[in-house]
Amino acid sequence: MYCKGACSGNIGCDLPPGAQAAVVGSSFLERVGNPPARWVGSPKGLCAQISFQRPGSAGPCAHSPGRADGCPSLALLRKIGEARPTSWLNFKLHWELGLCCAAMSGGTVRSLGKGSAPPGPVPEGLIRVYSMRFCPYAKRTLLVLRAKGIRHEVININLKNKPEWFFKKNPLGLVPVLETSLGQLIYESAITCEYLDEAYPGKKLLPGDPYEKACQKMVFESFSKVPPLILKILRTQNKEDCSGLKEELHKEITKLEEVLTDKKTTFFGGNSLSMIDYLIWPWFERLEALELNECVDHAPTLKLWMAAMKKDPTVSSLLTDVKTFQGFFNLYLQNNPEAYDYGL
Amino acid sequence: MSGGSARSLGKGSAPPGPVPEGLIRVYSMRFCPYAQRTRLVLTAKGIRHEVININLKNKPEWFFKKNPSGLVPVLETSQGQLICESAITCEYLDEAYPGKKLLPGDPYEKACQKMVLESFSKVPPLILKILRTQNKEDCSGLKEELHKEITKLEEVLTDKKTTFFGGNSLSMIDYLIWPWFERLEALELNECVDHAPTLKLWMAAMKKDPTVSSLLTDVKTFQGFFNLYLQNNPEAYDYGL
Repeated sequence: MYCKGACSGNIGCDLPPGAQAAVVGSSFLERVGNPPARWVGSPKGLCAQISFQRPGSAGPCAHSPGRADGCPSLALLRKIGEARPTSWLNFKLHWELGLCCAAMSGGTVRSLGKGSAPPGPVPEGLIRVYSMRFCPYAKRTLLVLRAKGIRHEVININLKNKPEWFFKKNPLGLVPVLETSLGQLIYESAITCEYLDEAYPGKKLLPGDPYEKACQKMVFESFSKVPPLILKILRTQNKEDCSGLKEELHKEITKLEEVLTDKKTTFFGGNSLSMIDYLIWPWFERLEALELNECVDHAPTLKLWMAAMKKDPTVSSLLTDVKTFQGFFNLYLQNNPEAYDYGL
Repeated sequence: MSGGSARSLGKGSAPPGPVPEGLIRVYSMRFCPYAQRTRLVLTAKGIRHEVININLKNKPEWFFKKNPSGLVPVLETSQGQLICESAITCEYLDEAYPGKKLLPGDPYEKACQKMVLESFSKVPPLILKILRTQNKEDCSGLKEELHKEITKLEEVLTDKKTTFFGGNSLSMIDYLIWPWFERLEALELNECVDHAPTLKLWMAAMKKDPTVSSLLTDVKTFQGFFNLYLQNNPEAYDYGL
């Protein structure tokens, strides 16, 4: 197995294209044979970049969420090699399971807190995002980075125990923050997403047409009451207040259901996924863990949208499971600084 | 084109017809600071437009078809496309029309302008609260908050070392925040910029800009509007006509 450099080179992998990673060795192919023909040339698994190429030279492409740990895909390949898979199916299952675990934890980097050393400058060719594994706002930025295949590194911040140096990155002390290799700092999640779309090549997530772009921003505006509502619901212990808030949420969700129904398309920007879908997704992702699925009960179009979103390679590679969210929420509500590294 | 002389339309008024080709329409209100953003951009870019003023205390039923939230400003094109939310209308106009670009082309510079707009965002609701607060104690607390926000902006501009918030020429961000600075004198809030010399210079430079000065409203007219507005009098919106 070796990395074919099948990606555009924008993924956070330090293997040059064509480099050999002696993971399973040529004996693997001798023992196991070629991959099934139907897998050849098509993306498989949770990582959109995986493709089994020409028989005999196939290799999954690295997709690295956290450069600090090296390439987790390579690490996974090594682990699988050690287990000596006996078939391509066996290999593929282990590969997908391994990616699933890596994706669920949203990266493996422990958060940095008070007293931590400030990170050095961002290496050239890379962009850094200061994040938190469970922050829905930071999730927007991670979704765009991944959707556009932008090479990046993630530094997670302990939001209950912020490093002093972090306020030099953003005086407000909030994530997400982008830092370029030129030391430029960009914060506010929607601003970071638009910046990435404009500054990097590849598929544009925002439409080029000024009116279509304005429409996405108007949808974003009509979504804007949802995040603070959901935060309030999370923090409200009192059942009466909670049911009032849930009713408000139901109203807001009905507004969005109407928007999507009127558009008659699968996604909020048309028939393909685009910026607006990524910007609002993180809160819908959390509905189940917050026991708020009822709020989309009367929103069949939105439910279809949610199902379509979960099938998107970018979205699914960054999905967090319900139990992990709930573990985080429990510790978060107790103001426990360990919340931010839950599951690591 | 200045839309200063059009009486506002209220309940029972006939809905306006389609927008003629070659023109864009803005639903506005003569004293609304948010709608003023849109009018500043229309004027700065020399965009042919017509203004329909809305009586915000007596809104025409047809207006909710233009914007379900019933707020101004709203843009309507000759193709019937509707754009709401002041910042969205301004960005739309800059992208859709030729001529001088008010937003920078560089993604980082554009992001910087948006970050400044974000740090300005507490000012409009604060100023509205101050306008509506009769109680002197509450008012002085609010004024202190406003002073803090203005100090933030003073620091931003001082760090940039340029005349305007986007560089040495006037650009989008300056137009987006100007309307509230224009109202400081009429609201007797000039003291809030007392310790902000860079901002004071900026305000003076803004008043010299042809676009800004062509849309300036004098203190007495503002105060006439504010008085009637605080009494919930629908005639506020046509004050001075």
